[in-house]
Amino acid sequence: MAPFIIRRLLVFIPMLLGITIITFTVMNLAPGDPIMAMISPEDQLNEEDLDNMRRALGLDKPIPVRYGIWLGQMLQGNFGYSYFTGRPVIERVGSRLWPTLELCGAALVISTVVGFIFGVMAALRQYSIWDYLLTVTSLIGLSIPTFFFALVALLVFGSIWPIFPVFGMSSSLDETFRLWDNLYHLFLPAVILSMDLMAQNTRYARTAMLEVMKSDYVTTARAKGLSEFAVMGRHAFRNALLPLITITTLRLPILLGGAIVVETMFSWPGLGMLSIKAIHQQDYSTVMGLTFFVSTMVLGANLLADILYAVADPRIRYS
Amino acid sequence: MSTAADRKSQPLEFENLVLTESQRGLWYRFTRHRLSLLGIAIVAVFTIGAVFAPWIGVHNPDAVDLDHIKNAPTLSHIMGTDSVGRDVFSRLLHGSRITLGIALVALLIAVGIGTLIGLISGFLRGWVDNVLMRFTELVMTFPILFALIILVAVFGGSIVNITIAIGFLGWMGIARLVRGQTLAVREMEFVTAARALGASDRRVIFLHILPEIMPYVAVAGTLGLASAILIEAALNFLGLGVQIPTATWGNMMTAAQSLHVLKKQPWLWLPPGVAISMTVLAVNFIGEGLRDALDPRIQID
Repeated sequence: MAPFIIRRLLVFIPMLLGITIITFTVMNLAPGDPIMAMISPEDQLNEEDLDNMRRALGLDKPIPVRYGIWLGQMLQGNFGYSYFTGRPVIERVGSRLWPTLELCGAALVISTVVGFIFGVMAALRQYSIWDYLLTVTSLIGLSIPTFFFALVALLVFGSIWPIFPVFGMSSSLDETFRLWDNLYHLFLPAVILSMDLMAQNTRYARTAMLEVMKSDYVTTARAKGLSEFAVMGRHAFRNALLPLITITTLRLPILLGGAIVVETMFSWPGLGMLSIKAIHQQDYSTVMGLTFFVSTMVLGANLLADILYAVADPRIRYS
Repeated sequence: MSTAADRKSQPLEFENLVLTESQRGLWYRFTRHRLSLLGIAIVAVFTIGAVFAPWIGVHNPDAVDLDHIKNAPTLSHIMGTDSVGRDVFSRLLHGSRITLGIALVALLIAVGIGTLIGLISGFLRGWVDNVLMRFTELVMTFPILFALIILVAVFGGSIVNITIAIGFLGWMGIARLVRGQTLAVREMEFVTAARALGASDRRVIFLHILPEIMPYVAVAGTLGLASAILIEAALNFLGLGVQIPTATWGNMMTAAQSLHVLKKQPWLWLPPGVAISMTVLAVNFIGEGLRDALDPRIQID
């Protein structure tokens, strides 16, 4: 097991480096000058002062050198300073990490559990009216943009029938954490964020379950005279569940993309809301830090999935 | 479940059961097919709307009329007017040109890149395949919407930039599908025969392998069009895409971020929202129909 994990880690690191190199280069191709964003128009600075500032900040060096410096500092835990607030990037980004993890985690659980229940229901009653309804409904769910779902939810539950909070993650202004209050705020954004994945999981679970139900070992289990419940529950369902790990990791980037929309609309103070803010502020050092955290999260989840899969599926050998 | 029960009670009529099942399958495929026909009809309506926009919408989509701000629908303005008095129906029609145009061209870019990478990867195999597929996985790891807002912020949100950016971020699924199919097709006898006759690699790839996998590309492309419309709409909704006054379905809905508009002026955001959803649904119906006709088991991620 250990060599397997180490080998996966050896793939993980160059991928992360690859992503940071691409983003760093793109970010530095940006038109406009970070110095200009930093100084106020009233400052009476001549070209020489500006050059001095550039030199002091290392902005006169070529991009590969600057990337090297950024990387060296990053490894020591310094992600640079926000062009906008002047505070360390790690401070600005770090506080947003947990809300995003919470929101995406909740959406992932909802979409997986509900999606699978729907999908298995449809497969067990293939060609029934339920199967037909669930198949069409999931296709409709896939086709409605997340922000449209969110707008309708904001209208219905925020205004017409205000039973759920639609702003932020706490009722009180102080940031003390109260579990029930937090979950109450989490419910609506998490459900909205889960819609797209839920529809995809329903469709996936239906196909997987139908496939498994046709397999030889299910026929064997039936031939042994096992009850239909045991055949479906113990033999079919568990095997349909296995590829779920891969499917879920493939869709994590979609989930994080959706989080940008949902967080912005529900004022959920996570990475997604911060990225929109930082983009509007042209705060590229923060965007760079965000990129690093987002890619680490996705790649980390990929790594975890590989390991989980190896543990769950005896057919996969570590060597 | 019913089939399982049948099988238990009438084990000897297994062949009969298969027959009924295939009959049901036919019926099922037929209803599926009807849905894709419905999809084609919806897409046709929206296409006509986009092509004939200036003749169907009588008002100028960008004409500001400060005497008629946020008016509810009337006979003259059948979908009302927006915050500066522009006709919502005209903007919806002209917006469809931008929205569908960006999605369509972006999709063509994505299909081009994806097919080329998939063909090269699957045909050459070896280290080229390895490098290309690791690169594909690398790009797939990154959330598309996140990458898109960075690219648009850096290079500017012009229609051309947005189209290219969506195209460059949407080819990965197609590349993986095409690679898989190419790996299978390159082992077929007609490919061996072509090579034995001395055909060059390029000739084999484009004249023999590509036509064979075109149906798969068509299905992936159709489903990819749905994603392209959704991602373009999200970008514009967030206000980072095409800049006003140019209307897109996404940026028309930005106004609904104000609770007052959301509650009191549904004609500002409901029509574009319904238009996006219906178009994407129609495209998905067509894609599903194509996939069922081809091979219901292919998975496209």
